[in-house]
Amino acid sequence: MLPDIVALNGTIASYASRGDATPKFPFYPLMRRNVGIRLVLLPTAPHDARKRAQTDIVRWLDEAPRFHRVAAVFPLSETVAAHEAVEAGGERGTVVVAI
Amino acid sequence: MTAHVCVHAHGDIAGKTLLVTGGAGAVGNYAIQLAKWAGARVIATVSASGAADARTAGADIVIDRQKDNVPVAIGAATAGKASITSSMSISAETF
Repeated sequence: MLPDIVALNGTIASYASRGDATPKFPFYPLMRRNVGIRLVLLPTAPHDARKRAQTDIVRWLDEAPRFHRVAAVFPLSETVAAHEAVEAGGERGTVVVAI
Repeated sequence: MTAHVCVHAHGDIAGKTLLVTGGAGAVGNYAIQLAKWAGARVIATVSASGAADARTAGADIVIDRQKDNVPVAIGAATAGKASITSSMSISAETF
């Protein structure tokens, strides 16, 4: 689906593949459009990108009320359960660990 | 943080069109909000129950991936021109 709708020289950024470690993708259709594919994992992202994200998000939160859908809140002592809730999926939104 | 890094993976997105797949999920929803804040036009795909959250987040166009013909809807939204600059995909199927 995507090759036809991505702009020439556009970018696809992805941070997950629903557990598929080796997803297939249309190499030639994307190559012809010179599409950049960015696979994002936060801990190994460049320091500058993370620093900018942090700075931007603090400013963004300060400027106005934001929309947060909270799926569940766990105390710090139940962090394992919080991870399991994320893995299980189901309820939409962010799983929060309260510190 | 992940949403921000994905949204800005292309560089400056002000005035450009982004497609956020899974716009009602936790990361996707923040991606919509951060992309709008950065001045982008945002198209989001969602499953039916998530449409309201994607709109609340500020998506300009919300497409129900189970009901709508996604490529056609995106084509209509971009006036038939391939103007999607960046897409934040959460699933392999969108490749």
